[in-house]
Amino acid sequence: MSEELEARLRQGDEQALAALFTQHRPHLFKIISFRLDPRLAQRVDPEDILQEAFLAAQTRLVHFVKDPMASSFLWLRLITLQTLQDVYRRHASAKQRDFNRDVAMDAFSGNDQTSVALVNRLAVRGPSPASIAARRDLISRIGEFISQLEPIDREVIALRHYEELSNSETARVLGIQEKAASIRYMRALKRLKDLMAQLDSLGDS
Amino acid sequence: MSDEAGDEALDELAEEFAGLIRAGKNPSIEDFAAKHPDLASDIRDIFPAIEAMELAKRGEEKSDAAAAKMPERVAEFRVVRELGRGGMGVVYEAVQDPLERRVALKILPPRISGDPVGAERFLQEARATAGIKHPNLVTVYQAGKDGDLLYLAMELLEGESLEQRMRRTPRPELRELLRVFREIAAGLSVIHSHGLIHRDIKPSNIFLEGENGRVRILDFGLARSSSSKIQLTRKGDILGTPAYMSPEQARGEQVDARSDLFSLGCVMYAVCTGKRPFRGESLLDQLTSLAVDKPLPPQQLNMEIPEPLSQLILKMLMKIPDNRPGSAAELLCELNSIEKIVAEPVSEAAALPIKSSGDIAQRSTTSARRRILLPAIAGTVCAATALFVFITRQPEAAVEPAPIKKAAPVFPISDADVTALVSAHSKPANGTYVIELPLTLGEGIWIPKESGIKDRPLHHVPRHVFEIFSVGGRSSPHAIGMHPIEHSPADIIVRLDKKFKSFCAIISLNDPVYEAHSAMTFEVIGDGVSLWQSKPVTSRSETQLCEVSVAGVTTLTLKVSCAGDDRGTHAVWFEPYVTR
Repeated sequence: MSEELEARLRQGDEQALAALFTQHRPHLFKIISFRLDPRLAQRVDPEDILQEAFLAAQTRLVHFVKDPMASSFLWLRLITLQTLQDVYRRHASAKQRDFNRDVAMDAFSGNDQTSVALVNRLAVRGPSPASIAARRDLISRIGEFISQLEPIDREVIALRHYEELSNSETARVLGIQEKAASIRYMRALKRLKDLMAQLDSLGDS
Repeated sequence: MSDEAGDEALDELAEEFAGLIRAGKNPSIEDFAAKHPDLASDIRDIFPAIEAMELAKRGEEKSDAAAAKMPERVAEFRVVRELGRGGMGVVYEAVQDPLERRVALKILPPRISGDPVGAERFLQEARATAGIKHPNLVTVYQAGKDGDLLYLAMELLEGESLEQRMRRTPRPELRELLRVFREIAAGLSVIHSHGLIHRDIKPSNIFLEGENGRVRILDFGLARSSSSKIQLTRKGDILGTPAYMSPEQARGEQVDARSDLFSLGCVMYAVCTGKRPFRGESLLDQLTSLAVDKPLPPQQLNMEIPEPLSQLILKMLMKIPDNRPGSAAELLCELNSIEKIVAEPVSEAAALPIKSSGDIAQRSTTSARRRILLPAIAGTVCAATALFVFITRQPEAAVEPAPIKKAAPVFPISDADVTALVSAHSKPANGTYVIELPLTLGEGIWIPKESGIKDRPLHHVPRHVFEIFSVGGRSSPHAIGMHPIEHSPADIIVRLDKKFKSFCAIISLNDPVYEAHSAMTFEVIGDGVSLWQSKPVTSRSETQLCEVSVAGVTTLTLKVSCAGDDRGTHAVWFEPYVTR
């Protein structure tokens, strides 16, 4: 069924696109939630991004037909991320036009978004400190840890756990061998375990 | 075991293990270890991290999911439809049975209702608010517990939150904005007079009801209390939005009514200027900003804001509570008098620093232009200065060239074009002539227009591209950014006039969504002849080093093209330099 849809999509079948998009929608939603900057989240609804991503996929279907990616999921994921990026850019350029200089720009830094997202997610797991000051300490520890990871290892964790991609999808996205992706994943997990031990002892003290 | 087959097997098990947790099961690490004795130690080593990450995620999702399922009935309320959701639970429209009264029914998330102490405390506080009636506060009818569900029944309001309004109308009219402020202050003074502190004043908690947009403050008395053990808002909320929190609240200290005034000051600042007073890239930055920054007077950001209002907002944002207005009532008085001044006929209002609309339009155009240019200039300076772009004269070539710390070039920029022309000058440093990039080097930096998109000259380049380049996660303030799209490569033209020996650069890509673009190719062209071409570059690929001889070259073109993608990307060269 799914394979048939994939085949039809490669022929440029719009109905297959709609069906596949619906299939992948929950997963894409998760990915947006993970990638969406919390500050932009106040202004942007992931549902709107999905909607826009679908329209973008429709117009860009010809490109997929011409140059199909490994799977419709990876293609739709890419388009979704591009749409998200467009939304960032729109907020950025709106800012430049707007006398008011709105706050959206804050959400759009050239900084490594994966790190920011990971720190936020990992901090949820840490002990719940009595004050913001303690949380600040926690966040800076996690941030320090994340910055020690190699960027690709960071992405591997983000892709495998927060985007819930398989190892082979992760490898494709990163353009590395599956084996290399796997090794990086194992290495990052080991270091992550150490971090978690640290966080737990932080909670106990 | 660490051979390849073992790694592969371990990864598969890890995937399976994570999959089980995602499916809502509780797989045991020991079971996995027992089933795969050869991998047992690795399993024990790394699975706890997987489990922790997935469980943390599931915890969030589970509470969301539980709250997401619409109950048919809660106590005597028939649930009709979902109205919205937030950190504090889901709000439904419901009908209260014997009365046939339509209410907004808030169902608190399980993490609060699941904690008996927290639940009891919530009920106490909610019941205390149920007695308060005021036109600027939402009326709370009742709070209770039905089975596992903790609920709060409130007046059903129609309208939008201040947050939604701000998004829709970024620049409200001054009188309207003063009215809103006054009504918030009025509502807040009533909350305070009941001995309650709101603790979570923010745009999404201020509701504008109906067509005339009467202010109704929501969620008062419900926010987290510093004395309470429970945190009624999600941890994620604390993470995400200390934006409107007072410094004393952020430090976890005891707060009083003046903390709410600080938060309201932040809201007013944001409404007036479109910009929150304390901001930061990360939570840490944001908290630091809250602790140390002194915001610019709102009037400087929006000249329509009258001086007294601007001053009042700054006073509300004082770090020390004693320096803020003493109470919401006092604030209300001040707002009333400002409103009175503004309401005066136009001729008298001229005394106020409010410009006539024509004047504003004109000035805002100038200042908008100034603002547009500044980042571009700053970016160019940044590219020019930190770039390590220097030109060494041959005799002094052995001398270690020093990067330029500061540049003061003149940048006449024509909006009609995308050319940033810079004047040339050089200065000796340690016997080495160090010349800022575009200066003698060439006539300027060229950022071509995107094809098909008119009216987007130089400054269309997003600010971040110029301010902070981040290449593969590495901050690269020395870079030059270009934005090519398919069939429309971007060029930087550098006039060398046969004066230079070699050109070097490190090449990489910059784009915030890391792989959301196709590969770029960088090319160095000397007088029309290709001197060097990069391998396809993505932000994933290693940075590449380019080093070519440019002896005898008059015009050097740095070209970036985009392969097979119809939307283009940001590209950068970073740290290019030439030597004589």
